[in-house]
Amino acid sequence: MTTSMENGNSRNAVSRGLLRAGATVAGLLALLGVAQAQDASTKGTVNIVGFSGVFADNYQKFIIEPFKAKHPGIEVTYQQSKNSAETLALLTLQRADPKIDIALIDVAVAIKASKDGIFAKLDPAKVKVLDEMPAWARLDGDKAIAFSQDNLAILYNTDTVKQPPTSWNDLADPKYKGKIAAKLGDTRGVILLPILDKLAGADYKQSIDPALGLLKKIAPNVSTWEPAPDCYAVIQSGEVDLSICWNGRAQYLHDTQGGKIGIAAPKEGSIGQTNTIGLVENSKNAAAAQLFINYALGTEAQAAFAEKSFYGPVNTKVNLPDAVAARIYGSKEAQAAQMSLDWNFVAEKYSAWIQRINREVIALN
Amino acid sequence: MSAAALPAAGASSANASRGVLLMLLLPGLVALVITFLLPLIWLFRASFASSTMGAFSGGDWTVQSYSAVLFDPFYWRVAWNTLVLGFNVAIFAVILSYPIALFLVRTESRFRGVLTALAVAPLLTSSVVRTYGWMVILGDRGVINSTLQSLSLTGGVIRLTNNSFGATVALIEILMPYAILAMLSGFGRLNPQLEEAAAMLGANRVKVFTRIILPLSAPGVLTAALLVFVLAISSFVTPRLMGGGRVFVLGTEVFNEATVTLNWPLAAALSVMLLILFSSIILLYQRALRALET
Repeated sequence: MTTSMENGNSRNAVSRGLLRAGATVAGLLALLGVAQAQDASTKGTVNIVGFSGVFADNYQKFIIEPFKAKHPGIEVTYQQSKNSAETLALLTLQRADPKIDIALIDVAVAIKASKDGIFAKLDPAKVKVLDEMPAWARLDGDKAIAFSQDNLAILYNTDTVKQPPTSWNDLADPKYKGKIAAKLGDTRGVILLPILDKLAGADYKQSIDPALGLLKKIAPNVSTWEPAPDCYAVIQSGEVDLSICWNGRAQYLHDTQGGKIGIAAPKEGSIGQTNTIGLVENSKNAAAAQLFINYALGTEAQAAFAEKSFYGPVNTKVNLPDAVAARIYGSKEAQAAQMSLDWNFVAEKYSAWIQRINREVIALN
Repeated sequence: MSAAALPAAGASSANASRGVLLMLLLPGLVALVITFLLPLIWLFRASFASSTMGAFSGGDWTVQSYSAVLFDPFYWRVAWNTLVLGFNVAIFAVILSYPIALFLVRTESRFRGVLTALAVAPLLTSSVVRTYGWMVILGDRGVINSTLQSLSLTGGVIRLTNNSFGATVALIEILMPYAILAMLSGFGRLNPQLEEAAAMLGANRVKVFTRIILPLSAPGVLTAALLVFVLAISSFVTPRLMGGGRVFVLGTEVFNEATVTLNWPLAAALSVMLLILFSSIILLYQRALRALET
């Protein structure tokens, strides 16, 4: 009796529990439905301007397409731009009547553009994923957000270089005399200086003299400071043995062009060329655009893009498979030594550093 | 309008025809102003903007870009490099083109038209393509270096490109067709009968050349030299690709300031200075031409 009562009670309790759980689930589902309905109710077009070539293909496939699948009411267009300077010129021209809602742009240019009022501050209530971004990535008061980092690496010709370099110091090895291509009069140089400073035990915020000192030791090995057509082709053609260039594109070429390009991620770690995403001030589709930014910075999009493009993700919640991490950052030792820059500081120094590289290193060699 | 009607109509008709002439010129003038003058004015204005930021929003006037250039010895060296490159290219391009142009003017071959077309045919391909051609020829593993090495004439690689030598050689070849064209059109005063007359009066071939041909062809030579010089000092692609980043000329600096460091006012100021350089060279040229023709 008691047992049956208990049984009955417990059965009742179970069924009540089930009911409650069911109600909760239903409620949750309903909530989700509302949320989805809200998302789906956001209509419009998001016009993006960004980098060209393989980047554009990957961005389209692994970020824009999945976003559109989730938000059938939103159309997304992607306009390719040759470089960030061209993007900036476009945004400046359209300042009064912007046709672009989102710009993907190099970090140094982004900070300049943002200071000039090109970008709008993102709304943390709409771009919730901002919480997951590290402090260094939220630039100029959330007006531009870093979304990817493409590491500077040493590329080598796998036919002629049997022992790949392991350290940035190898660039100064006399056996590479006249065998290095190094385009350093741009972001590449601006990133290499803090790396070399670290090798010399100095801090880029104090002085870049130690880095320039090291660079002068590398200079006699440099065949060209202006590799043509670019820093990848000169490796593939065998014109040089080593080239200082970006990891992501080199990994892609390694996979698609028969492995002639080898990529060495130096053990001292590296720094990534950082790309940012920004909402254009006075955008006519700000709501849809922020929905897109929220997706593009989320873990799903970040992980997918990193795996396909070998650009390091920025969202702190992204966990990369070991194999992918190794191809983006190199060995565990190199991964531990990976650096990030205070871009607000570096953007201020950008032209001055390039000028010093041009005048003190390149013009004399 | 018939010839008989002209005197009868008198001054009013002359005015009317001048009006018609102006109307006919108008579309061309408007096109010139839009495509040529307005950008120049814009460039001039931009060179006086402050360089806080790549974007030029107008507003303020400042000479900071000019003082940044004028008080910086680096830019003086860049300007000097540019002039040296221009002179070297102009002199060698003219010396190499002169015999070709002279031959094309004087030849009685029925293939003259074809030969002339061949001489200027390189203009049909982009100078970028031709620059790449020179990179293949002069490169460390290029035709010249590999030939020298297989003949064991040199110990190591001779650096023929990625420096100002490579840039100069490539520019000379790339600009030669312009020199040939300019000389072909400038050699109109050359007359074989004058040479025959000189020869009959006892001048040998050297004398005929130095006393007759050279002075008469001087205006054409001068025009060719000016054209090549102007094209050389404003060139950008070839010094950039052939110079290996080591050749700093005004063209490459304008490009760097405009696209890398995004200092558009400074780029504009450098361009205005390049324009001033052009204008003074052209003034000098006109003086020289007048002196030659009188």
